[in-house]
Amino acid sequence: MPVRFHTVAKRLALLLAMVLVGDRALAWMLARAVSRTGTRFARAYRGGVDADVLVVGDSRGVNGLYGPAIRDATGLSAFNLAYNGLSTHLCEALVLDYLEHNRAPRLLLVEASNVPSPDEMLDNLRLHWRDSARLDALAAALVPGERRATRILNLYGYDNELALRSLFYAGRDDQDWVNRYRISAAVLEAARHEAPFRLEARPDNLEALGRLVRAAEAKDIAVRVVLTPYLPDHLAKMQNWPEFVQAVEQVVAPRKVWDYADAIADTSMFADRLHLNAEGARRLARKMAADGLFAVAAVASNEPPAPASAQHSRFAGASAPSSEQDLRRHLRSTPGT
Amino acid sequence: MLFNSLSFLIFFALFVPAYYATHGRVRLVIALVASNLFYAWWDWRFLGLLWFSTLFEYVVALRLHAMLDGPRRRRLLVLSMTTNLGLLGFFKYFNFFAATAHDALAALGVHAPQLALNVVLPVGISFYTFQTMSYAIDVYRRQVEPERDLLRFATSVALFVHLVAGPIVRARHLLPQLRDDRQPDIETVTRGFEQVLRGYFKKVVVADSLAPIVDAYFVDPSLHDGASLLIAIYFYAFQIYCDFSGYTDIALGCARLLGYDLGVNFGRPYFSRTFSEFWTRWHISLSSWLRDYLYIPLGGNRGGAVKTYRNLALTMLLGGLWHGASWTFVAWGGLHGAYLVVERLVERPLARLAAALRLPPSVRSFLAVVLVFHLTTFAWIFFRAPSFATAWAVIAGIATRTTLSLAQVQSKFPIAKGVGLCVVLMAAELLSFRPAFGERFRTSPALRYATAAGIVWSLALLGAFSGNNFIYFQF
Repeated sequence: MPVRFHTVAKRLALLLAMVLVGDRALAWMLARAVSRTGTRFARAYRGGVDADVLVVGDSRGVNGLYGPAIRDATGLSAFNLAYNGLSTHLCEALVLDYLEHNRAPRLLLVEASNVPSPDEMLDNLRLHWRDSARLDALAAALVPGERRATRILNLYGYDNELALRSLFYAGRDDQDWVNRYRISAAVLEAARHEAPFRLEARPDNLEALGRLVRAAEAKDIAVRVVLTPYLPDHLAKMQNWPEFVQAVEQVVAPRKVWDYADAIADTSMFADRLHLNAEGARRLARKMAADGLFAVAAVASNEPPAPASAQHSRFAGASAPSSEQDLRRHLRSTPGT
Repeated sequence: MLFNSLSFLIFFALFVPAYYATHGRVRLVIALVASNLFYAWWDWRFLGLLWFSTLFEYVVALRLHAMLDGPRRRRLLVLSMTTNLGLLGFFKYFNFFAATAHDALAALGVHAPQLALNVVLPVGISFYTFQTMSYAIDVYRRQVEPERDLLRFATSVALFVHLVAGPIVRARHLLPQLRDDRQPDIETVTRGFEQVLRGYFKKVVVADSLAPIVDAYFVDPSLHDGASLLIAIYFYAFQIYCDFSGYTDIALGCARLLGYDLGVNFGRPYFSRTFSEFWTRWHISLSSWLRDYLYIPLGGNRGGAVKTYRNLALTMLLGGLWHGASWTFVAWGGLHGAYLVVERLVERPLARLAAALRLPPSVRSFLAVVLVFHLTTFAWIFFRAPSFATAWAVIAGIATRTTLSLAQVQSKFPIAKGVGLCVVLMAAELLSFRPAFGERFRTSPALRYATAAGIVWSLALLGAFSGNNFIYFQF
């Protein structure tokens, strides 16, 4: 018998109802599961993180500023909020969100070599759009179609690598995530023959970096802008590294940029052209500690606990700065700031 | 217009009511106009080529039917073949043959200028050319009556569900279905809808999730360890299967929703126990075309073992070349030709060995499936690699840099997702071998609704909405 329109419409309506109800139920379950996991973002939005040092950046921040390495080198607790592909723009939103939910760190380490990155990783953070008004606003401005799709089918919010990673880290911490292998001979060889290239910072990321630094300091958090090591052969192919560093320095001035791009020459400390491995991260952490990069936070963390209001604004050997100007003055007087 | 685009969903949602609201020739007009719009969405300039091919074969078929058997009739068929293959050769193979001739001359010390045409390959040309060629041959063989109604013939050639990437539908199969108003029953519509959903699952969830991983490893295989390259080639085996069979499912499902049955194009090919079986399960419309219009006319298996091997090898080499203007495709076809020949050579010794070892039939089948799958996957390296250098780099990487460690493997989470999807897909295909499962599925509305809803959820949760083209669009 030929099909009738109302039969098809009825069946489609039933399927649609099933899809929507199931979508909400499954998304609710996933939201609960993700919020309880040990991924950095789940922990940051859940609140209660109490770290001396907060690290932010992209995968170079993940691997170069490895939390356990910082702890071993300085005795400071570190929380790594960096993630593969994060732009500075997204780092800004994530750090501000972190500060709303958790105790402020004494020191913020910003790995700033992600200023050329676009905001593509905003998509990967879909599962946290509902946790963050900032990320949601960015999504509304940059990817409105994706945002609408997550409203229609909530499960779409979990369609990304971060959701998979979250489930992997159910019940355990992701702060030990780092490259543990050594660069292969083939990648080393390829880096030697790599074509010269330029790194171009995006103006919106540079602005975000400036805002991030100022916002953190306004909350009495010392900030260090860091550029972690590149594989020497890869770095040699960057035609405009000095200009690139200068562009970063301009937006964070008068603060210093801690340029460690060429600090490690031993290729066995790298996982690939861009990333240190765990061994390299430990060497870098020791070097940064020796350079006094952690001095502010180290002294502060050894002090006896203070009332929450004052606790965030204690700095090495000086009275607490009462304003951003004071803070800057203070930081300028601190070695290496 | 891509099946996995929003524009297609809107197009189809508008087309279906218009199609069912009309009857007879008006319905055909709507189908033809919509199909032309569908094609023009990509590049309207090549509509002229499609129409030329359609009108030319329409006239040729009528003349072939009217003429008495003899040299003139044969010459007309040759003219038809030459024209069709000439168009295909010009748009698809000119640069390839020109470059090959240039390289061959250079090897002989003759430095000729290199000719190259800056032309775009018209989407679907390999498919509709083969379709119209088979129509002319069938009319020549007096196996089908020519279609006198130009509107119906043009619709059969251009119908959007099979136009750009098949299946290659024979005129004798489709034309009769265009002679009446199709009024499918609810079961046909439901199955069509389910097939479309399955197609989207294969394409958007599986193929497009695997694609970025495969692409990353094939850019410069020398940079990756053997384990990563192994993952890349296995993933490519599933990517191309899900990409093409997913496209086919969407095409066949849409056709079902319109009341047309375009046949079957894939039948769980990775469970084949022999390569002969593989080619009855993979791209069936092409392999049956090659069998009917190339292998059998060459003599098939009628001239003894050696001629059979020659015909098999030639058919597969040309089948490889049909896919793309590159020697890597020829190598892929050649490998499959070699597999088919060797399979025939070792068939009896292997059967004797299995009997001597007293292997149970299930173990024999399992081992055969594993072997055929792995050799097929090996051949895919040449199909995927843009050059022989890349293909050798992949093979060399696997041969010399494979260890048991997965430490150097990048993108572990997407890889884990890909492995999970492949396992689910193969498990579902394995289940579908059991007739009882199919019967239970068909008679359980709850199971059917749950499966459809599950596919929509998986699209939302696991889909890769990168808008990737279908691989076979380039052919």
